[in-house]
Amino acid sequence: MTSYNLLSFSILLLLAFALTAVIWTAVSKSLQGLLNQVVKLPDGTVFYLRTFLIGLLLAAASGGIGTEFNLKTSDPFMEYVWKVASGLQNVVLYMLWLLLGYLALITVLVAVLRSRHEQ
Amino acid sequence: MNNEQFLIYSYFVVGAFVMAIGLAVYAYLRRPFAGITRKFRNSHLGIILKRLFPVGVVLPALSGFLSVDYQACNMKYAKVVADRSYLINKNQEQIKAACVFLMLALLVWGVIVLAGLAMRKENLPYGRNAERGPQ
Repeated sequence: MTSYNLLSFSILLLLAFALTAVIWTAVSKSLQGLLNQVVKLPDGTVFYLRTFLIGLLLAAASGGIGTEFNLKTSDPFMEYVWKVASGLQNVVLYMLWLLLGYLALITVLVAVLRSRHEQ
Repeated sequence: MNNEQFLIYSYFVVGAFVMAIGLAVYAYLRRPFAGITRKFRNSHLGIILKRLFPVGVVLPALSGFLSVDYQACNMKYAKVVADRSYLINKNQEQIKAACVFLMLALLVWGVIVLAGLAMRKENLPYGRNAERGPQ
């Protein structure tokens, strides 16, 4: 891997983990509140919060690491930009799938446990 | 280091790295998971799940790693070894597959925990009464 490829790869990973941090910061507080309200078990809240964080990190890693950087040193700058963009698209796609799965899981969790508490 | 040595070295290093990811995820989730299983109505189920949890986290990561085929499209060994960038790409693919498999496994464990939480002691009328004590 040439130094330009390595630099592009590092930028991609940095952007992927920055995206993870943004999503985590935006959602974690309210997710914790919701889980506390519904699960009513501290360990349950911690488990689902940690699962979400790990899922985000794994989505970022799999999208970023899965991108192949095999450009030549002589390739133009924009080729590198497009490669990073294509990698970022993978990261976003994985995150969307994860969010979709997690959202479905939390919706079922809320529906099931709330009806149980109301009984 | 020639390509063949790189292949051998990188294969085992990536394998160990993937196992380490699986073990790190298990270590991070072990305590809350054990706390949840303690609340299960059926204690045997709790014990079984607690023992299966490490397997259910590490094995998906390992199976993701093993799912990558170096000899895809009937490539001969000599051709595989000839290209260093192909070997690096395969290593990246192994880590990616391990992460994806692990992500799916965590979602499945989330569903299992959900089922367990729905059946836990506190949610049953007699469980609630037992917690309050005799009145």
